[in-house]
Amino acid sequence: MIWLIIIGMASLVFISRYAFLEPKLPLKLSHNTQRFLSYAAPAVLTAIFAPIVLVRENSLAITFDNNYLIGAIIACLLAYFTRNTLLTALVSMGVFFFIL
Amino acid sequence: MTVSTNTAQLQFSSKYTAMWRGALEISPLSIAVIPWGILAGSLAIEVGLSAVESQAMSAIVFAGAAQLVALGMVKAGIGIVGILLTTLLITSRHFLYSMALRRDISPLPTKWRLLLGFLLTDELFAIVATDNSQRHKFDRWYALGAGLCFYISWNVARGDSRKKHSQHRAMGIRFCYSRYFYCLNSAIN
Repeated sequence: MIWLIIIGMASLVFISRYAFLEPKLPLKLSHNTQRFLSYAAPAVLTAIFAPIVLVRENSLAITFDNNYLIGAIIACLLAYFTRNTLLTALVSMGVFFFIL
Repeated sequence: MTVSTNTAQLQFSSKYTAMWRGALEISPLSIAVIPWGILAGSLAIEVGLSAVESQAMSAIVFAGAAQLVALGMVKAGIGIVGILLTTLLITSRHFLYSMALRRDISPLPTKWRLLLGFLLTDELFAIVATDNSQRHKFDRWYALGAGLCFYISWNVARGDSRKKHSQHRAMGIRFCYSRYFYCLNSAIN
């Protein structure tokens, strides 16, 4: 059963990643669509992290006792001022894990 | 003869450099994904998967969010149809990534398309999209280096969790938000 789940999941994940990379798929993207898609990364990633950072127990939690929010703000400031992804990842994870 | 050898060497070294650059640029995300990999591994053990099944899941499915949700559903006793439908919902964002990279990857040979398709995670997409916009061109070797580096890191984190499972779980949950956040940062930077 577990193997069936693993194989089924792997197929679905692979199809979703590969589908539009297939040249036989009849699809032409216009310049505007291409431009629209260039915003996919920040849009999707924001949709993933925002609920984790801002929502606690099914309600909006913009408070100073929300560790995730504070950690996120620190990561944001580090990223903005240092422009260094490695430093941002290590320092903000360190702060989150050991201090908050 | 000498000229062609030199060209071949030059090509080899530029491929190597591009792969290395990709691996280096994704390394912060490869580090940030480690707690998330440990969490997925320990949850798999808790749900009752064998070590081989747990490692195979990470190696074959290679999708953290979908794996965690699916494992939770297995634990709750939900059937395979429900699990696969949920997987489809969670993984649907990848359609957007593959569409965005269609122009760059679809003209490549089949083995490249299959390989880069398999490796196309949130992290790889963020890194490649940033690189494309900075350099105004797609480099397949860069993408491969980054994708492989991330794949190895994810699977090693999973393997490691077999030794230390449950106590790390709470830590993992606290951390799991962060990797997406760093991904986003790198996308914006």
